[in-house]
Amino acid sequence: MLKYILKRILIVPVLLLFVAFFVFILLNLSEADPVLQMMPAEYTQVEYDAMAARFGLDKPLLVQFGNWVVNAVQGDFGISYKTKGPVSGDVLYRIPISWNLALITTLLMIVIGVPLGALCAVKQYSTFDNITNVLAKFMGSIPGFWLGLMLIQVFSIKLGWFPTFGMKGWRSWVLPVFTFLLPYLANYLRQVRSAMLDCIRQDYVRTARSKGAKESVVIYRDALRNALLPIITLTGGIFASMIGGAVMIEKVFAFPGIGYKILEGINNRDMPTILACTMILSLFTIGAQLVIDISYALVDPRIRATFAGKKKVKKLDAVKATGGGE
Amino acid sequence: MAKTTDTKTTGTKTTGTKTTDTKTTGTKITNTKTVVRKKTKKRSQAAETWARLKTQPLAMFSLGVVVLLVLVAIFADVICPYSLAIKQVAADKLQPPGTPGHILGTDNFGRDILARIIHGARTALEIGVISAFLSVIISTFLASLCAMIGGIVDNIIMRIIDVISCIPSLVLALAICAALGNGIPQLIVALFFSGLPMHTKMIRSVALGVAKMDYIESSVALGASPGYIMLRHLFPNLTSIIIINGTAQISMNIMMGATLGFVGLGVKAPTPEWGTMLSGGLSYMMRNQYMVLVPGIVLALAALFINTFGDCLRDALDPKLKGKA
Repeated sequence: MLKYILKRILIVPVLLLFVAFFVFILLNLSEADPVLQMMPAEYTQVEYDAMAARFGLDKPLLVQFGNWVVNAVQGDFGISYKTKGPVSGDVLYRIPISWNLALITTLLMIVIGVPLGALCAVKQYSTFDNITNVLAKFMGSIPGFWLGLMLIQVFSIKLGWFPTFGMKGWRSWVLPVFTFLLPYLANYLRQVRSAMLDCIRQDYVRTARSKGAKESVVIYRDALRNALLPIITLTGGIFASMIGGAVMIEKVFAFPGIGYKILEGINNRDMPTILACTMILSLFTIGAQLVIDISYALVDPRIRATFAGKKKVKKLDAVKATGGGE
Repeated sequence: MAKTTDTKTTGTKTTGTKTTDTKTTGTKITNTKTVVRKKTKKRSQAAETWARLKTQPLAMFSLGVVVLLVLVAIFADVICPYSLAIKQVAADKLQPPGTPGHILGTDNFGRDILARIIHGARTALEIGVISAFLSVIISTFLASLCAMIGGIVDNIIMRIIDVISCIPSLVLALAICAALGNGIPQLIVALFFSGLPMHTKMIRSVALGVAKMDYIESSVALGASPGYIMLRHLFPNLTSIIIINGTAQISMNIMMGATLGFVGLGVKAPTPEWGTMLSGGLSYMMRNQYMVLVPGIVLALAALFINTFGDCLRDALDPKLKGKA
């Protein structure tokens, strides 16, 4: 088990390196010359060379990438083309903001989504289930950024309950979290429902019922517990996709997170900023995936068994052999 | 070495040559058999799917809306000329809906919103359909390679896919758009790439299951080449997941295209596009909120009905999946 976790963790830097390379090459496909873009209208060749040297842009692409990696490992993401200041100082402090936005939304999603989804599955095809389903389908199709704009229109401008944009205390979190939550919750609900439905139809649930167990115990202990596995995968996957989806919410509410910064970087054609933000968001995604894989192994004894040490497997085999002999 | 040459010769025999040999007559018989079976099966599967779809009013209604959307996109020029969608009339700025001549009003440049919505449908479908089609086709091809050849090819393809899938899809699309610039082809490339990893993973897992089937094994034993098996046995068994993934991706890409348009990375300036219309209306929200309301509602409805139809189609294609999210 420990070996499995170690293996998964050790692969992260390798993945990050390849992601960085991919994005680095991608951003360099751009035809615009970053040096030219930073120069004033009139310049001499000497000035041009000096500017290129200052940003390390006079070196071959691979050397540039190598330098970037060496610096990035030390927490230095280069110099912004726009502000001419270090990118790290402008980007790193935004991490908790984006992180909290995704985390709060995910927690709310679990707290609301799992019970509601389970209830829908238990009362399949009831009026409650049908209404929730139709609503969820509808909510899942609304573009998040548009929903955000409409909410601002109603709750901030007309009613004045919440600030329209920026970070001003807990009130500024309400609308972004709600806007972010709704489409994801809609999909989550339906997926929890289907995971739960799968479990309710299983033989062990029927067995539990025929034993005479109370219905609430059957649902709670036999069905929901087994449905947890797919639900964990779902939740992790949604959390990972939220990290990317936060970009739009941050844009609409002018929320000073990573996503807001990446759009700013794109508008300014500021490659170091785009690269840094992309890498941080990718790191989040990889981390979320890692946590899913590990928790999956922790929760499911069947998966745990496949990663058990050789001694344990032998023991298990021995038990099986004696069991079969009887 | 001898083994490989053997498979090669029998492979060519199965695909075409007609010599009076006991071996070929054997394959001939099986060939005609499969053709006959395939024909009846094919007809019945499509017909069955259609029959199942017909019983659901929701499916038929959403299909109607989708067909309407497609017709509007195709006949956009017939319904109203393109010039109307980009013509700027300073005198007609920011008219509310119901103004004579402009049913849905006008935007800040005096352009007719309805005309822009109609031509925006064409842009949206063009972007959504082409990019979804590309990513599904390419990922099916990659997934089949993984499943049929396996080993190192599978490993290399999947590791590359792993790396790409580490980048959140919207962020990847943003980065590609940032690098390539504005325009419809660039947008299609961006959406194609962002959809690729997910589809390759999903289709590969199905293809791996199909590749283990007995009929594939017997086909290999008969000496069929991997390409032949792919075309004849693997692809037909992947059709339902391809269709399901494709429809889901179309609505996702329309939404994502609008999202990119909203942040200013979409199409070039005068081209009507729903997301760009939305962001253009933001500064005028106080004076004419319909500039924001109308494209948003159209976008939400388009996504809703394509999604609903996709869900119904999936249920009809594979009743086992019914009720799943």
